[in-house]
Amino acid sequence: MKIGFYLNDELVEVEADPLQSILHTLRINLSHMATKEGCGEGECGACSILFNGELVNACMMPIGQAEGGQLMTLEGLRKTEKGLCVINALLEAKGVQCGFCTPGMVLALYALLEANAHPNELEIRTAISGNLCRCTGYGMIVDAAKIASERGEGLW
Amino acid sequence: MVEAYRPDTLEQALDRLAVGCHTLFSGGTDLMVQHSVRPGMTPSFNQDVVFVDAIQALKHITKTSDGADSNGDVKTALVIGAGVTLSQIEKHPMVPDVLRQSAAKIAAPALRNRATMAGNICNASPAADTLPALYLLDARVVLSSAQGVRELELEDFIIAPGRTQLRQNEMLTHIIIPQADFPVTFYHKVGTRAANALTKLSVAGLANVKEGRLVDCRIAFGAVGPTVVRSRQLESLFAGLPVEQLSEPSFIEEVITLYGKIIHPIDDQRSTADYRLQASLNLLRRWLSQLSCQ
Repeated sequence: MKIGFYLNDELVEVEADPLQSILHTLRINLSHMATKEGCGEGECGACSILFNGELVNACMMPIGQAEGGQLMTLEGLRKTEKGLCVINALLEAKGVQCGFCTPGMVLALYALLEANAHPNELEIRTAISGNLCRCTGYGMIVDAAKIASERGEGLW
Repeated sequence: MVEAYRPDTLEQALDRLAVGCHTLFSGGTDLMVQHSVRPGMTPSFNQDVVFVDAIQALKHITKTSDGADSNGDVKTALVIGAGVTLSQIEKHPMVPDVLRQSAAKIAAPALRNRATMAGNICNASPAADTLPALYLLDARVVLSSAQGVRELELEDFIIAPGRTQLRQNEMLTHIIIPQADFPVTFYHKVGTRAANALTKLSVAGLANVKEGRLVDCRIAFGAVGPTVVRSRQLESLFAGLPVEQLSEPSFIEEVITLYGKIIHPIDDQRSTADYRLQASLNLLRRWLSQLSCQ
């Protein structure tokens, strides 16, 4: 089945089983490798992307539901000022070690700051509660959210 | 290979459901996991899939009139469309607090952005987190088919774990929550961690206290039986009581004993029957003590 949608603001069309996950479509059909597969069942957040501006797990959403919608992945986000703001904040806070959770973390932090430019600690922790990191611990990632909020003053 | 169909309107969806067997697919956060084969492979569904996430008419939360009370005053009810996500419920100011709290405790934000409450209901898991709150609120469900519409009490709709009254040609289209005045709310979910944890047990409570007396007090327990445990008979013990009585040790023990007789949890991979019973009753004590201070 032909399915058309916007990926990082560009119209794309894929020939795929509509029940195939968006994650599989991104990585295998479209060679967009930033979005990672962790648990494959919506528990780890490594595959977090934005669908119509909202954070979703790409592993649990079939591509058939993306028809006509807007997908944003790290490949697109890193080309934006806001995306870079989050990425640089993660680097500054040393919130990256192995990096596997990082694409999902960037998307989750971006979704948070878009909705709430000045989040408190609890709001930050809630926003990344579906994104597991087994290396750095969450302290530095929470710091990154605060840095991105400060540095991006006026941006968010 | 099964077919997938994504209608824009409810009529189109119901027409499709009228013939053959289908799997209704909204957020799909349970379905994708239930039907997964192995990493990297497309989930395997055994029936044609009807995606209902594109039906805009089901994505609203509205207020409607809902008959009249004994004084002839018009009552209202909240109508939640089947396409409304848990995130929307969590954030919506008109949704009763106990339901907002229970929606907010489910999984994590990315999942709540897709998962719907209608899905949580139709899945009919004993551990479904929105069910205790919905039982307390006397929620009803609207079931539509090409033949017509019927409305059921949620308590009657859910039969057993994974089993509901939904017929093959029907779709749950709306959830109706009658207007009710419950300023005091209790909700506690016990899980292994704060986010992304399935429920070991949960306790929900609602109460209305006027001039130091309980007008209405409701209690429900989740994940401690095949379906939600709520007893109107035991709740009637509270009607009209002065709140101070809820701190009387003899009264507390009586209530705990009575509820202990209707809670029959099981051992499973998430918890044990003993723990579930004990923790449920401990949370009931906490709810009573919280109420006694009102």
